[in-house]
Amino acid sequence: MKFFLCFLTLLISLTFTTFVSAKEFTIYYVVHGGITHPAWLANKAGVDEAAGMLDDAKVVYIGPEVYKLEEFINYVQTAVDAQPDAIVTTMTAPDAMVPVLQPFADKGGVIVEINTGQACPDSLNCLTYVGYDPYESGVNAANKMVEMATARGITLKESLYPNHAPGAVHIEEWGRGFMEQSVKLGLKTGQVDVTASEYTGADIILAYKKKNPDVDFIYNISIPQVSTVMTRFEEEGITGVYQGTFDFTADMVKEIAKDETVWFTQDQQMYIQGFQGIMAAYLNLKHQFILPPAITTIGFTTPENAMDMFESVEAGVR
Amino acid sequence: MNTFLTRMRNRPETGSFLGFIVFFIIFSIFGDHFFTLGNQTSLFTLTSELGIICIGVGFLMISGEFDLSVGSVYALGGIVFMMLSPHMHSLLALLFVMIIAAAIGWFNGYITTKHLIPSFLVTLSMMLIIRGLIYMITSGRITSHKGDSFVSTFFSVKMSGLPGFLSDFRPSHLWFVGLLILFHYILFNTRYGNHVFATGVNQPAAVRMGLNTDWIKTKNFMISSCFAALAGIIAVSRFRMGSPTIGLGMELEVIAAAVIGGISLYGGTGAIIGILFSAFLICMIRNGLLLMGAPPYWYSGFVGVIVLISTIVNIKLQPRKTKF
Repeated sequence: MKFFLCFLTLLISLTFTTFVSAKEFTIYYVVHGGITHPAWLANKAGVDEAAGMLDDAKVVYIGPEVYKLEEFINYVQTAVDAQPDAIVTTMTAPDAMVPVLQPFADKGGVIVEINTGQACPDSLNCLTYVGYDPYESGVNAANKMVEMATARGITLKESLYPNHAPGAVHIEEWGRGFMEQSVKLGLKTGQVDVTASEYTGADIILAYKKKNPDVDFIYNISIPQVSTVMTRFEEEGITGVYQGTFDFTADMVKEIAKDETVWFTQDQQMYIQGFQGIMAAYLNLKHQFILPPAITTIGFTTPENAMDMFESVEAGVR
Repeated sequence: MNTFLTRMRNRPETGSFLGFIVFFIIFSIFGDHFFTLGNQTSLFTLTSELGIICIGVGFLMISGEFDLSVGSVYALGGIVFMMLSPHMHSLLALLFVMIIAAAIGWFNGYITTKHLIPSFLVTLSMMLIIRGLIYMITSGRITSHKGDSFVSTFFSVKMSGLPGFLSDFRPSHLWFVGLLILFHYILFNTRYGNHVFATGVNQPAAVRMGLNTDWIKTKNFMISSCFAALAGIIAVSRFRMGSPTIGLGMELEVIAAAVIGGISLYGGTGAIIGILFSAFLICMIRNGLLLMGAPPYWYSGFVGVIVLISTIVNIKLQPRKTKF
């Protein structure tokens, strides 16, 4: 037993020693995740690609496996405690993050915001922003929904925004954009808390549909839930309900290409957010460059161009 | 009449039955479409998956131990089944998964009983280890079910070949009810059931009576893990996909359902049949509130309040000597 414990301790020490290498810059990349979500996997691929190009920078990617605000804040604190040169992070809960990040910012640490819609408080003096604009993404999705319905000769009556992370600033803004624009476009609309479980969420959406039979479009931003909703609706024989989503999985790209019930997905280019987030921090540390904010959500993937995306989705960069 | 009421009150499942009836009536009256066959069978599907895990956990809790790893085993069971089933007959994949689950249960039992470490800590560690393993083997990716449909036909897909309203039901409903009856029978009518109670009520006394309580507990850990894995297989084969995050937090739902169902947190008392009502109660709360038109941000709070009320009612109905 003693031998086993000694061996284990030695092994762990050696493992960690290999991570510690002398690099000029240290950049922590902290995301709210969950890092097991397909979108964040693509994001990490971008971070890894950038890190692989930089010989003089050590990049550490951390975040909770599933979205949990308090765990995320703890990760941000860990990053600050590690005293890196730069922190690239999602500004998921600015009020909660300021007390953690302010000392780092006050010491001149570089902060780059990604993904959360330019929510960085002034006091943190964030260098730049790379990512989508949640409110605008919601607005654009509502516009696309009506545009595609019109092209198909369908008059939509009511839209639904399933919310899988109530309280997350960007998720709330996203929904607000979608729902406000839906109303402007003449649709009834609503949202429902679907929990973080795709299985439970599918049945909650099914119940919502029973309560609100006019619902004919679901803007399901959690892509795994699109599949579970399709399965449940199919089982219940419910037709005439269409979905739009966000990000990619290979199965979903094929589903969109069929041009049946899933009309579009929005490409927020998570890979670019990862790659450019690291590069923005690095170039500032190295040469004091300031990259202008970059909005990465520029397009929709629809039945017309779905298969064009397939290869990059399979490669894990979308 | 008084004797009947006293007998009813002393039965551990009475509280969950009453809670179930009260909320079922409220939701049926005020919730649009709640009391429809389609909605009830949907709820019973969720109930069956949760309930199957509760049966195993219930047995374990009666023998005085906890299993917090069931949510992770549920996920592992489903994911491994999906990974294996394209390469072999799905029934064989199911058997492999059951062997893995039994091994996990055995390990939990061995560490708990032989090293005298509280099962709360052992299974908490196991929960984290298995979840980490799932993330590793899936690389965080969603897995699709591409194997044959044998297992899904016998466990999860709707029985559409049956006439009329029967086509809304699923085999998982039958499995749940069958296992419920079987394990209720085992608990109250067999020597093993007696041993489970004896182990939970007073383990030193049970040992003095010659019972191998360590092995009884270990077997219950194995049952708990196997049922969790079975529920995971049923769920993933129903949706034909599984993400590595499925089953997160499920252990708390399972324990809540077991306690509401009349199983003591301290072991030694409980009834399996109460799980039918408590699991259904937990599954119908969110659905019922939604169909009643409750605001979306209120659901979790309501769920908590209703679970708390149900538990208090249940405890109040129990004889004074019973602790939860």
